[in-house]
Amino acid sequence: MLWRIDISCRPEFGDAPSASALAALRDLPVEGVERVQTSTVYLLEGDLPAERVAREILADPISETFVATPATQPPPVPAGARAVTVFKRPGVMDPVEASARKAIADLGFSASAVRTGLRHVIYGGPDDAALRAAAAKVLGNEAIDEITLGERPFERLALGTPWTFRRIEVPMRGLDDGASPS
Amino acid sequence: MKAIQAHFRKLDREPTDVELETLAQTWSEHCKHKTLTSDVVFNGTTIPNLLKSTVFRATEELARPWCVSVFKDNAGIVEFDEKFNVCFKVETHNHPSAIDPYGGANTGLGGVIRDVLGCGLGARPVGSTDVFCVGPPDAASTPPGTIHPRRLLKGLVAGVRDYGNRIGLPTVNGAVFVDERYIGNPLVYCGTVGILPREKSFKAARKGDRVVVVGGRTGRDGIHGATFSSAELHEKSEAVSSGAVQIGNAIVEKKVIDTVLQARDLGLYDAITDCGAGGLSSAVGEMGEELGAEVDLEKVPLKYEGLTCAEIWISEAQERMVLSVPPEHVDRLLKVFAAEDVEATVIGTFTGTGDLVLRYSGHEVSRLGMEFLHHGLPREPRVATWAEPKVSDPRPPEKKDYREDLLKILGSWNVCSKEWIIRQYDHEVQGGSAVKPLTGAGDDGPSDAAVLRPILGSHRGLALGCGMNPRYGDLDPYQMAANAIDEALRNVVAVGADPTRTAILDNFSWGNPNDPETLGALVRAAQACYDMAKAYGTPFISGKDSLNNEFRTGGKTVRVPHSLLISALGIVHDARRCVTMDLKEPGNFVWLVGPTRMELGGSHFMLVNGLAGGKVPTVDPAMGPKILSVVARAISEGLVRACHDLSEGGLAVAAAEMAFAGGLGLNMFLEQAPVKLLTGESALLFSETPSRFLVEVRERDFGKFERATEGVPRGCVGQVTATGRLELVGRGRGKVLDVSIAELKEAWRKPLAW
Repeated sequence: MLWRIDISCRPEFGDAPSASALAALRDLPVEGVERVQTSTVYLLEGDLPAERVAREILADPISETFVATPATQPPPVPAGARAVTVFKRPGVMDPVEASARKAIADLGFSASAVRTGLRHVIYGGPDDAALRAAAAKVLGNEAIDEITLGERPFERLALGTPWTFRRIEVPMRGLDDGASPS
Repeated sequence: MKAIQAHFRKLDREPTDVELETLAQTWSEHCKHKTLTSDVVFNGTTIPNLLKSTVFRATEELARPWCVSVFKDNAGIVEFDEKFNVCFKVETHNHPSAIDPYGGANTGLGGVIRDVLGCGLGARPVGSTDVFCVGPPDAASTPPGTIHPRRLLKGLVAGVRDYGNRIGLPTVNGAVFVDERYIGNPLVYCGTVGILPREKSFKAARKGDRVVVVGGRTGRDGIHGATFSSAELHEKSEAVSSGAVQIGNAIVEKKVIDTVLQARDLGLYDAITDCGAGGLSSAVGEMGEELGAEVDLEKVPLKYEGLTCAEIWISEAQERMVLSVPPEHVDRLLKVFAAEDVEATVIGTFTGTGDLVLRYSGHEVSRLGMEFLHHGLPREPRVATWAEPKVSDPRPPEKKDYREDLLKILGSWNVCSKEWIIRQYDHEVQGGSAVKPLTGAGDDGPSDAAVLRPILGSHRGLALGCGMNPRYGDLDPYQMAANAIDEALRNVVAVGADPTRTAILDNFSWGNPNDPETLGALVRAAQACYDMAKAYGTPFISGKDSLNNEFRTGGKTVRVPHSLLISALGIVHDARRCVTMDLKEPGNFVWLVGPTRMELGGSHFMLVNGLAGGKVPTVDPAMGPKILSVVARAISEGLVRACHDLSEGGLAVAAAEMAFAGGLGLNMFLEQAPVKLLTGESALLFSETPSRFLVEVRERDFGKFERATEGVPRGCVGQVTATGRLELVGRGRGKVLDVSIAELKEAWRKPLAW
């Protein structure tokens, strides 16, 4: 089972991630953005009680709220807003992922894989292409992040496929100056 | 390539992919510094091994007995006290930071921390430094494929902040330099100081020792980072080079530090090094250089399946160290790491055969002789040329009032307050920060250097400072390097370090060395390193170069300014004697120590007036060391209340900074200022002549200070007031400056008050 948990700050505690995203977009500048609601997203793969994991480990019960859903059914985007999701590219070090797996194990469950990301729900702003371009500049970095306008669908998280050993020799002894081994 | 081809023809077999990757990593510019260690034909004269002939040679000839290990280990080691030595390393992480500033700076700091942890038998990191060279943060636009300097700087700062703070390491010293030529190729320098018991300062792997990798798991992170770091950037680098970018995990590194130091104190290993550029290939290759090693690659813990042999071997996944462990200590060592939830795995053996043998599930995939791996790289002589550039020498404008010039200089990117950066760093964690990066009545004045007390029960301290003047490099790379050395030494002396117990580090970031003029400029800078190190009696103990710092865009190649960072590590015999730069008390006198010459070339006065050329500031190798010596003595004798070196912006900027940092006024009468071949007021106010200090002295110590500084040009040029104004009377034309310190401070704080 692949779970998705979206965690947001309660507005009465000051929503620093949302304010930071809004400031970054306006600083670029991106015209017309009225409001940004930023959530931290955890994708958890495994047979585990997602609500309990969210409540006891991932979300601060005082300052944050959460929504736990199957990953195929992310929370809806409010009318008139658009979502931008940012996840680390597969294989890029994600320290939070490692900590989350450890904490879930400490709770007595096992997540075979975890990925973390951000979802920015953006009210107002330019057309889709311009918003996507702006997001790639200030809400993530495409060198290390996957940035999607809308929801990024996930089917599985686990990385890697088995590698079958083979010894590779590079024929270069017979090459002359104009050739290169392929 | 031909050397490799010839080698395998001789062996009568083809190389494997793993062997070629190993050679590519080990022979990369990043790992082997093949340009700086090559013979250079400079204007027709051959200089054998440029580094050995200049930087190393100065250290060898100085032969300071307190230099414990220089240019051998991961960091330079010097004596600290009867029980401890200290080590210092500064690294560049330029190209990864251009692609991903957060990850680049993050792993830049993480990597240099591991350098220190892998120095000797392991040093405890006690402080770090960072220097960023970026494009103008207010640039209207930037070329395709670049990150806007404002966003880039924010990412760099966040990267250092999130690593240093999380690991509990104070970031205490640094600088920011801004120039348009850094837009496509920013420079990122990260340094770390560590402390280690004197008897733990040397290491040697032994035959039969097991190869143990500890810390993070291996993934595809940073594959080809070493070779990427040695190449030119271009418009598509951001899109195609992401494999060379890594993200750090500070929490894992903190656990690695703690466990390694436990194992060190239990004497469980013979040698240690970090997995940096080139990953295991460099770490095991270097550690086993004299012995040879065998490694079973399938034993290396992986983050996920699917890595090929070559990927496992050259991955630059972070937070990994390699230890050489006697077989009888392996079990105990593994328990030490397991107890703290740090992964430690035996992956091979140091053999004594002289070969580096790699296997995967019993299949041999590589067999390279250590001799060929480390000494088979052919050294091609390089050609360098240098001709004195023709520089105009415009007469600086003389004005009735210099208020606007001073405000503009204070608000320029290089001079303005870096409080926005410094406040994000925990510069007090570990509790040893005696002189902090911000100081003064409001804790917001710019310290010349930081002072750490790494042993909390002792008053002995370490001063950390730096010097860098890329703007001078356009006019004269020799004097640029000389000024950087003088500035780094001035900075640590200004807070109370002993110049005779100060060591320096060099970090060259240069353009493409295949261009003879670019390499010629580097030769000139290296020659200055030798000359100044000898003149000041100050040894280099470590260094690192980064070449090919160029960005290709729109058919044009933009080379970064010649950028030599000099970092200084000075012993402070008694941190209670340290002084800071803020004025302390109305009525005290202010002395200018060191002569001012007509040297506005590359100065900020020329910059804000839109002028080019001019005579570059010139270090006087005979007088400079004397000035450092008398100022250091006066501070150690308790005669100095405040001390500030004169650098960018010269006398006027130093005076303004001292006044607003102290929340006090300053009346200056420049008739008594020591000058040499100088005319006009603008040069006196803004010349950037090196080897100068402004010093605050109590009235009762006036005579003592005068006597203590005999033999060097100096003059009493002002008095501290309670007016809150900086007033300067020139040499004959009356008042040339009268500004409130509030206005000065606001101009200085505003640009980077993000």
